[in-house]
Amino acid sequence: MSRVFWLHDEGLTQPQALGATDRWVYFWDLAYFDNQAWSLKRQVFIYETLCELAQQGCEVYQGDTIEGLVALRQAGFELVTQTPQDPVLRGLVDILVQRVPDLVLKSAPRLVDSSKPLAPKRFFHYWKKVEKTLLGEVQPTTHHRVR
Amino acid sequence: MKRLVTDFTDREALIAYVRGLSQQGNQPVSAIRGGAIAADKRLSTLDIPAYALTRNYLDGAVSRLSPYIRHGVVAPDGLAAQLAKTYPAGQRARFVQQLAWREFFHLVHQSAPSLIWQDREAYKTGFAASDYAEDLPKDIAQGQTGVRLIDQLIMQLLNQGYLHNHARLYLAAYVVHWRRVRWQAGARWFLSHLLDGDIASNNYSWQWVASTFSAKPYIFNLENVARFGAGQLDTQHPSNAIFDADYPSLQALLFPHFALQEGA
Repeated sequence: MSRVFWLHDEGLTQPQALGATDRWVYFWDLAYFDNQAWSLKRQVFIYETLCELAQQGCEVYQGDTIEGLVALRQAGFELVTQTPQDPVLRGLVDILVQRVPDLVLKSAPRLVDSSKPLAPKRFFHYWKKVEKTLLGEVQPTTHHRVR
Repeated sequence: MKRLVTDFTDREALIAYVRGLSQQGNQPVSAIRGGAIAADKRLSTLDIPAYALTRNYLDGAVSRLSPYIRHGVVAPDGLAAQLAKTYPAGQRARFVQQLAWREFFHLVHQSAPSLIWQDREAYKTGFAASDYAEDLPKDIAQGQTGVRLIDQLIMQLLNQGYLHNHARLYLAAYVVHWRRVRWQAGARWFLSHLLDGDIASNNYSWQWVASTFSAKPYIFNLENVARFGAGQLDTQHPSNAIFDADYPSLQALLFPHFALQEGA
């Protein structure tokens, strides 16, 4: 089955392993931007990024994100996207899953790929856990904040 | 569904097109450009040894990669791996640590996504949350507080959609501690304007300043701004006098109840 990769504003890059018949799309959704209350600056930054991606094959539409994606699923495409952390985007994903239960959610790139769940309370507790993985050694000078 | 135009003769034409889409009239647009080409330019100027030495200065050699990382144009794991090939641990540690701050805030958010707009802890200022104003005052939103260095920072936010991290701390501390406004109002304001606005990093950084996600409130004084911001901000202007004191004096002024509790 061919896939459609839904790009949202946390993953504006060409999807990995894009097949010859796969498509990648972004929906410029006015209701979404209204909900986020982002200034024109933010919207221009996103649009400039999309223009570059469009030159590589990304399709950019104006319209309701959910309706657009549901239409693509009904046209026979498998839908794939990156799991978002923003609550407004998460809300869209939650609505989409109700109508497209087989939506494929891929994890966002992580700095440290830990199999153990980390739920740190303060940054420097977390830093001491990941420092060696990230740097290959411990740097005691980084164990406190400089005002 | 309408396919949008994505091929423009120049940036002005693109901006005019997005203005039409967004119907946001004459709002300013940042000089910072979106896209991987602009990100690659920033990457090519990244000076990790200089970053390690000067990152806290407002004119220091910071990367300005955050808008690209926020939108997935630059992947943090790929960036860290790339730096590891070139720089020894001691040189790249402070830069990688900033990437780790972002990841840390994301992990905190993922562990309790419904709490992203809630105080994670009580204020450690001697005040209750109800003592803080709900809404951002208009003079702050418009950069007309009358305090020179604060207004300069606000205009950077409104016009460029970018502030140095130290500048964000100054502005957040002013809003929460000098004006006694809830961090949520400031966080919403930043998210509206910052090109790198990322709800987890943004909101938990505001809470870190406010003391609802840290052991104590963050404050600064004029000496600190003069040290790190001279050349970027008009630190000599008399309207900055509200910051011109040592830390014990500022703490007593800003958190009088807390000082009493501590001394009791």
